[in-house]
Amino acid sequence: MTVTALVLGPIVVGLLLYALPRTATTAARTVAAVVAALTFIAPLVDPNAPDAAARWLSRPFTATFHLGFGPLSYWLVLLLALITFSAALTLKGDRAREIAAQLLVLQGAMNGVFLAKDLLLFALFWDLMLIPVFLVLITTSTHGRPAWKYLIYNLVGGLALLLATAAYGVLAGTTDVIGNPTAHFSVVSAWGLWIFAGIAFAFLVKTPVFPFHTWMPETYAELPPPMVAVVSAVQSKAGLYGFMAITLPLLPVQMGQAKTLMFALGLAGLIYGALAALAERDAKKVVAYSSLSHLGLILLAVFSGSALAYIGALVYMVAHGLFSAALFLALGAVEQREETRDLARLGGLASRNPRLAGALMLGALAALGLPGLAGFAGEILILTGLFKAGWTLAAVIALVPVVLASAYMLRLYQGIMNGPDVPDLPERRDMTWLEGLALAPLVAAFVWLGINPGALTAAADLGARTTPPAAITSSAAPEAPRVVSSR
Amino acid sequence: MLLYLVWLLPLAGAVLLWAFGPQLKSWAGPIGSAMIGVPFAATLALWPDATAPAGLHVPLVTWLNGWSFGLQLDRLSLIWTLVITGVGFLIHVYSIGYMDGDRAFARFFAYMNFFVYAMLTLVLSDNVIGLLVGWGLVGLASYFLIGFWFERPSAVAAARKAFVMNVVGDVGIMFAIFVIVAKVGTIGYADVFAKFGTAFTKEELFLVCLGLFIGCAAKSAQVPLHTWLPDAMEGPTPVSALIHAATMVTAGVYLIARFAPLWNASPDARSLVGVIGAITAIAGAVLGCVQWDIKRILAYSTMSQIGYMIMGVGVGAFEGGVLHFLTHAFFKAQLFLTAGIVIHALHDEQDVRRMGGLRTRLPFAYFAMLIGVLSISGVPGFSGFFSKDAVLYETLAKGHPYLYAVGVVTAGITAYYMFRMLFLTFFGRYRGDVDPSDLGIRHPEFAGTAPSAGHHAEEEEPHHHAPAWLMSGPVAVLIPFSIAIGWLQFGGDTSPWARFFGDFFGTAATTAPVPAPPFSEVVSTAIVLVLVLAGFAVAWLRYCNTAALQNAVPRLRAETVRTPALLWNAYYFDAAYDYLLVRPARALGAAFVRFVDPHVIDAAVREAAISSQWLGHLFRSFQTGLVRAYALSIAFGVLCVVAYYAVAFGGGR
Repeated sequence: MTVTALVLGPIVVGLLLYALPRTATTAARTVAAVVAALTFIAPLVDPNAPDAAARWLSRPFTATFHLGFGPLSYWLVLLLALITFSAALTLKGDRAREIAAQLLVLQGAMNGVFLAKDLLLFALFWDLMLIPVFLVLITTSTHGRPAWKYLIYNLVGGLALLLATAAYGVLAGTTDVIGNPTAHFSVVSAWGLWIFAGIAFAFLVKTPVFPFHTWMPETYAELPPPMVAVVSAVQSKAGLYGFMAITLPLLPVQMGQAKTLMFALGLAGLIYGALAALAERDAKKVVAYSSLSHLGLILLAVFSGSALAYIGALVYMVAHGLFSAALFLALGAVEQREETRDLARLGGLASRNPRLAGALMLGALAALGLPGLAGFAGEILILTGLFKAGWTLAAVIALVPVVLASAYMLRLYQGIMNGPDVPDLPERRDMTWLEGLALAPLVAAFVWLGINPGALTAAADLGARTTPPAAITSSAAPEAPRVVSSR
Repeated sequence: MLLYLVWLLPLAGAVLLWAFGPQLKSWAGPIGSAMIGVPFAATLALWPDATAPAGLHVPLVTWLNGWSFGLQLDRLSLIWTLVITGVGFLIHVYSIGYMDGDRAFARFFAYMNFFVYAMLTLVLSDNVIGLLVGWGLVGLASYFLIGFWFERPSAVAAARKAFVMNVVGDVGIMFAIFVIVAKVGTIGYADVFAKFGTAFTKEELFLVCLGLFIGCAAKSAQVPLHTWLPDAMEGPTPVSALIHAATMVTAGVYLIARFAPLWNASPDARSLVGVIGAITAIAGAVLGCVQWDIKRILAYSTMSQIGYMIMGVGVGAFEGGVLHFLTHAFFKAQLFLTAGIVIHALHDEQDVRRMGGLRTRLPFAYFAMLIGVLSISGVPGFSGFFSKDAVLYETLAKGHPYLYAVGVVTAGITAYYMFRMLFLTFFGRYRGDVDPSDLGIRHPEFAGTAPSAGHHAEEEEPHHHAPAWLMSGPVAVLIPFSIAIGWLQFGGDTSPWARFFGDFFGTAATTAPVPAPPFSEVVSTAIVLVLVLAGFAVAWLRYCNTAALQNAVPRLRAETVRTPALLWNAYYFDAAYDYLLVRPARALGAAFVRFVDPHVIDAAVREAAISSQWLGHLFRSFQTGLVRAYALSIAFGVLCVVAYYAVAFGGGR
């Protein structure tokens, strides 16, 4: 029951929000925050909720409406709820009702992605989570280009995923396979690589990974702050989660074949994103490019075949979610006050907005991997894992962006907050208590997980034991109950 | 339990002062100081536990199997903890006076408390990751305090530079952690020292030492990662005393001493570190001779003195290196705090050309500065003499005659530039009323001082000044230590210092037998003394004899103009980094943002899209205004899916 409610609840409430009058900002904000809070509490009180399953398709292959917690998805659902809560609290203005509604629909759809245990259901929710983002983009951006760019990129990815799913379903006879090792079907024919390519393409576009990233800076810059917080924090993890929870158990051989390419893309993104962030003038795009860099590191972790890096990947996914949401919400507060995101125009805000400066500083520090915060915990686990698994050169190259990150994050922070007062910027009040309440749980979480990520490492360790990441490196098909070659 | 208190009280202070600073008003100073003073007393109470054979150890958290964190207090961390909290406490008290009237008085103490917490994390950690956490957090504290006056662009830039260069060091330590975790499997020091002999090959051992040393070089301002330290003088003077002289910059010495077993086993690492230490010692000392800013003179002398320490611990003279850390912490803190008294009295003037004759006006500062200069120059009887002598002779005894020679020469140069500073500041006639251009201060780049937009500019209203004893008192407490702490070295192998450490550091494994030193310690001391005397004599002739004092203004002007460009630009390290690293990285990033993304990747995608029919159709429909229809149809599709799901689910259960 709990898992079903996590998916349907937010969607239904989100659609019902349209029944409110357009001006009911406070009501919409309150409803969205309460729903998000409930979806945060529900997994905590019922961590062993039973799966929900219902018959769906029997031809041409068996598909089931099957939802349930996995070791990784449990934490991502919690992360999503927390960030939706924070994002909802920062809603304001005349579009608050619509954004609140779309936030909840997005949360439900993404819960569906994380909780789906059927591949077809996963693909369905995958496409569903595009829509709220698109609808918000098309109505808020000044011209429609970013919205269509976002939609087309991700729709093409979604289509590839759907085709690959269908092919897998036909070959294996069932798509009810996620998180269920006994049902795994090893695709050894030439189809395997095509299926993997389709799924991987969708994941790479969604994350995004270099060179599929050009939709991201524009999308992140145009989305309103609450929405971009959720998209950058959680939607970007859907593809990485997919690699860990779906292709790793289902298609380990193909993942092994692709690992060199993936390492090349991940490393390219790591460096490319970091250098671009160093030169970008739009504050939100700086964070967008930094995400490209950070997510490249997680891609390396996923394809390294190292259990340690796999554990680090979960820690870093959660950490990145927390600090990127904090950064986007803080930048949203800056933009709302100063009506610009241009680093060349901003400056000197810290003397009059010390609390806002503190919040942005903490987010920037977590993002640059300050030891003691969650970003560092993920980073050191991943990098050590890479090195230990024999990716020596990759691990050493990946150290360069660590230095670059400190440069571009401080450039971002200092560019906005430090220096002399800029006379032509309006003077606005410091962070409100509502904004503080939105950011506090995010900051508390990445501080606590930086000190003790034990809960995450335990969950990831469990995941790593059920589907050993090392399966990538061994060429033999692992634990294959039924080996069928194509007809 | 008490160890948790020692560790966490400064953090509690930082949080308290940060959150409630405005409400606490002038109480922020005393509270901040107490949060450091109590841990000092507690550490003294822990002395017996720490010096017990097993040391003191308490657990913290476990990330996963093999990644367990804890705190440990042993003889080495005891020394550091006592200096951090003891000297730290004195500097906190001094700051109550120095920072009085600053708009962000409480924020200053919050950052200072946070620094002490970070530094304690560094030295109390029982594992490499905890060490790196402390390492990163002291870097952050240093960033906060260098950029304390964040309205000043120069302070902001200096803070960022210090942070980024220190991250280079962090990355070095991360690399060492890679190898340690890959080969040893666990992160605790005890495991590393027990297993590294069998776990590491000779090359891996060297790589670990190299990674750790990159960390040291960045944090302790060793060549070539030293360029942030002079710029760090943008921070308030108590910060320079605590962080950039007494404690944080000596973390590299701690790191090498902590990993003594690794260095003992790796002669290559010892050679590398010894050479870098010696180069830094002499390079810093030479630059100290051409500076005009009193804080930059002291900054280069810090760099040089840490070079000594690093050379000492690098070649295996751990007791000597650590003793030099201890004596340096006292006399350098004293020198900086005294400089602060002078700067305070002259309303933020830092250029020694515009000082002079302050001996009568500031007699206490003169006395304190004199003691500090005598100590750092290595005049017999003062602390610096004993520790420097120990480092130098041990270097020779361990078979490094060239490093020894560099160290001896550096001792002479040190005496020269420290007495130069003393003479320019306190002797002759006061030059603050002389037209700056007569002193050669014409161009901003020759001015040698930052524009004096210090904290006094921010004073909201004239008010009473804090009592003078708040600043002179801590200096007075430091004076006896600057004189006498080095006496611990009396008695050679049976001195209290040698007995305190015993065989704590073990002994270095050598491949070839070390030849006996060519002369005894007495001869070595005599050589050093001759050079120190020579340095003093040159300084006297150039700055303090009658002719020099009478013609001070034209002479200073001539010297300013004739400063060699190579030295004034600090060997062009900054320019090289700018042209070789910073600018190419920025240019590449700009090319990615403005060219590759829109005109390469997007163009390729667009070509593909336009050549396919249905995408082309999508674009056209967008242009003809059917957006709303598409949006609606998508929303309708979603509704259908949701409805179908609800129905299917309802029937299935």
